[in-house]
Amino acid sequence: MRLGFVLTGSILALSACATSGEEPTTSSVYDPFEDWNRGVYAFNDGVDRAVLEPTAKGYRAVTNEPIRQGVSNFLANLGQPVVFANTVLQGKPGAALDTVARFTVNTTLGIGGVFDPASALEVPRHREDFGQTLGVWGVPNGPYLVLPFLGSSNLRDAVAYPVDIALNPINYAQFEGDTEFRVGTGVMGVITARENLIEAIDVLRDQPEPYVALRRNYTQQREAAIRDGREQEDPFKDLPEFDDYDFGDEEEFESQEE
Amino acid sequence: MISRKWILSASLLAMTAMPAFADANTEEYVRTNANDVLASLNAPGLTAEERREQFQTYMDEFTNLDAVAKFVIGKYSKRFTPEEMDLYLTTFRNYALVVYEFYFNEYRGRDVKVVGSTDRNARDSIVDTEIVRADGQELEVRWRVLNRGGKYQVVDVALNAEGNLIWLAIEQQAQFLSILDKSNGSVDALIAKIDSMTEELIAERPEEEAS
Repeated sequence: MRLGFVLTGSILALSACATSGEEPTTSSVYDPFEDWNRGVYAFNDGVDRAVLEPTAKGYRAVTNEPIRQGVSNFLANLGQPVVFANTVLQGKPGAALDTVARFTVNTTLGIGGVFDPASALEVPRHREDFGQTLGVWGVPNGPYLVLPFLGSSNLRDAVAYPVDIALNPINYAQFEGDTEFRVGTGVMGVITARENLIEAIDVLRDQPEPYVALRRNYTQQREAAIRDGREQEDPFKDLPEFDDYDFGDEEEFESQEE
Repeated sequence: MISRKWILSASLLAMTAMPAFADANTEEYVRTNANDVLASLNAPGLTAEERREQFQTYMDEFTNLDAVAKFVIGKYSKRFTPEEMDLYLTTFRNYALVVYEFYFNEYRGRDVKVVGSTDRNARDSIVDTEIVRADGQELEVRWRVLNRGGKYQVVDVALNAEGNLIWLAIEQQAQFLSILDKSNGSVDALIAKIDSMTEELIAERPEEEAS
């Protein structure tokens, strides 16, 4: 039982849901394109092992934690306008104000976002994107998808992804070297994200079925993100009964397909 | 006065009629045993092998590995022959103990603090705990404890990852069922996979020092 369970894996790497209202914590994820998705997953895994993983490990080897934190802060700060737009679209004025405050403080006192004085001032950090906004509006996940290079997604999140790009003013701003800046921050975003996931992906690869583990983890994590990290109400009501598996009828087993 | 007496009597009656919910007992069970398990991995004066034996003894007592093993193969627990099931249970036990040891090692010697519990029913409770790692990171862990004939045993553990409760046996079931479904329910395929994972974990064990 992969305690990979344990934090690293679980939090970092690892669970989605479907139009049918399937319960992601206890049963299945709607994945009608599984064969295709598994192919893309294998492709992404190959790209990762050949390029991303060694790059991320190299980045970790030649930098120290404060530098990586500074880069991460800078990139996160660049994304705050997108977070702000989504907090507004979700009707969360408190989160919107927090986000404006964070962006203002970190851009100025934090020297362009490299430092994070807003956290020291205990201004909450919010993580919102348009996929979550659609989720808050009640749009279901749709089928699980694995996108080339981008990885785990679902129909809702895949449709939402370009909207987040369109919502970020940095993608429109014109200044000297703007194209290089966008490419550079994009590349650093990928390397930073992968570096953060080094341990998690190691844990994921140790799983009996990494594809299934990631599919479930992605889905469950997105559901939790839409709830802003709050636990489900009555999180134990749908837990499977162990007695059923020890002593239950065959019919009960038949109903629980992956 | 009469009405007060009536209310009191009714309350007492209601209390006695309630099922014997086990919050206090299950909480104490988890507090004691989880701490013993983590302490066993840190026992001074023992060789690595002795620590492992002690840990495995505690785990056999603390958890119901056979129930977990059957749960994680779901419908196939009714389809394996008795011989296949015996082989599978042995294989799973070896794997589970190595996995538990591997990951619990990060928390060895740490204190498990019980912070609450929920009774799903008189025989099925969830105990909430917090474990602080050596690096200061706090982990929320939920233990699912079944009471079978007065004997408590843990059958699943959940980690709270930013509001997402990850139940380990449930996650493992999804993966094992996928392996079995893809191999037409082949117990050999599953056992080969489990054995290879066990071997990998043993190979990844940190260099062992006798204390």
